Amino acid sequence: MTNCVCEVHGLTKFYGNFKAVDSVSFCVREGEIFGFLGPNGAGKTTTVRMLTGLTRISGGTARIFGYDVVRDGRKVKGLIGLVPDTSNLYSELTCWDNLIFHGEMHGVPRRLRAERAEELLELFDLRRFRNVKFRNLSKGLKRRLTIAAALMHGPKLLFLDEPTLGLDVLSRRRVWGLIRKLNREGLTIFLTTHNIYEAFELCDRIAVINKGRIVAIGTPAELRSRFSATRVIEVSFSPSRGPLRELAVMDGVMGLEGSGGRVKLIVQDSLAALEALTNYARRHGLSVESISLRGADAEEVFLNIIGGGSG
Amino acid sequence: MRSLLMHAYYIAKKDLKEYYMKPGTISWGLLFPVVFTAAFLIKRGVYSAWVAPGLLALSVFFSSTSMTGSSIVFERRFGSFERLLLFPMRLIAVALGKSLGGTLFGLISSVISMTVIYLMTGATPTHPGLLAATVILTAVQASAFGALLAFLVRDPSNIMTTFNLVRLPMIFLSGIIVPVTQLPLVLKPVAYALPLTYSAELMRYAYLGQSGMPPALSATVIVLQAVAFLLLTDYIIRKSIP
Repeated sequence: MTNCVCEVHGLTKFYGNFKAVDSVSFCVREGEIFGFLGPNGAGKTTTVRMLTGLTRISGGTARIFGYDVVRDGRKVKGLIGLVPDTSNLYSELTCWDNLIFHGEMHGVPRRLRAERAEELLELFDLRRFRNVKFRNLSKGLKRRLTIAAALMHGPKLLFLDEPTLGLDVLSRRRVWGLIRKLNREGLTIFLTTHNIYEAFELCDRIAVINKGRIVAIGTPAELRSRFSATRVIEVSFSPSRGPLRELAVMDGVMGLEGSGGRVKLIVQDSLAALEALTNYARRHGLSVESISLRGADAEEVFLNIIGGGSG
Repeated sequence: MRSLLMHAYYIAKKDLKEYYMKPGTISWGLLFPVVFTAAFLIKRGVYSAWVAPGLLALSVFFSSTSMTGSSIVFERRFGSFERLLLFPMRLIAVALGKSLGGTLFGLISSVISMTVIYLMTGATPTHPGLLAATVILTAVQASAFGALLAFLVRDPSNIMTTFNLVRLPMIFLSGIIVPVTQLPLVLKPVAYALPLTYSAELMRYAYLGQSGMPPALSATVIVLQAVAFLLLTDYIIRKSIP
């Protein structure tokens, strides 16, 4: 694990009696985009806050570029950048002043500060908004400037917490493009998201977190292949469907959704499931109006991982 | 140490850019003290000469606390305060920077108030150097007090109400309008516990060459209170990290 730029062992966070993060361990490798994927409230942001010094650690250790995040907090802060889940730069300052302030606070020399701010305005296509106050920017522009501000001091590891939350499709694509570009230029990125497509689209490796625990970790391909045998059967019954609990207990059924006469089953053994479905229809005097069988998509893989706790 | 002061300076510079035009800062930090000062000085005479230094102390106190309070409250409300905790610096730079911004704003206000005092009473200080030092000390002490108060308020939307609950009684209890020696016995301990009392007394000495308490004592208390307020603010910021 020599190329681990962020090494976390047994990281734990308690809020009172509630365990928000439960013995999380992982390694972020140099140069990769590491995804931290999980539903709302899974512990993603708390983990990032612990790593960046915004929240105290209850247990475990975390080292960034070899520095302990608690003991060597100031050194760590000089090496990382954080883009929080809300774009919270200073509303009455212009884009330029916001960037310069971040450069000043990180000790970037005066001449380099201006150069760096110019470069970032160019890179993020914000040059024409240079003298516009932050509060007057659109949501997408605010997001871009918040990312730019986190890069003013040239961090080696960038934490992006839900970078595209609340953005429209165009702005989201644009931010994705920027993340890829920054990564191609050598920046290691730690990205938290609840968006499965974003994680699968951008990340080299993904850790899936649910209820404070990491339930799976691997490349997008590895996570998919772990569930490659998973199939989805969608079936419509007439006149209506029978009791769902009978379907839920069938062998190999991993997930189940029912709505009206329609049922979606996530299964491991599709042949056995089809046979059981036929018996179920006969038993309840139902006819099958339509039926389809397909592989699980990314979202279904994700739901299986967090639901089944595999990994 | 240099790095600490530079960080504090950058925070103060940013705060001045961002908050000096906020309505709360302008109304309670500049307009109120100036109008209040003018209202008390409109009738010339011995009393106006006596009350003027206290009104100057009051102006500096209101301006500095308003500026510091606004900057902290807005940032806490919009989540940008946490950004300061991400910079590689000693955390006390935050308390220092926030207080420095209020101090600079208080100095601006003091120039306006001194001009009003001069125009309305013709009063000039007996000890100009001491007056300048007192204005600076008062601004530092008041800013630190404002920072502390701003962090103690749980609901940032009520900040000016809370500030005024604390500040307005000080006008009557700090020896600005009525000398502390003439206050009822029961209120005297309260007066001596208030930070504005010592600033008013020291300013009075700087203007008139006499005051109700020794100038060295007033100066010492102001400095000690400023340091205590800063350290307490720093402690509260640290404690606020969940």
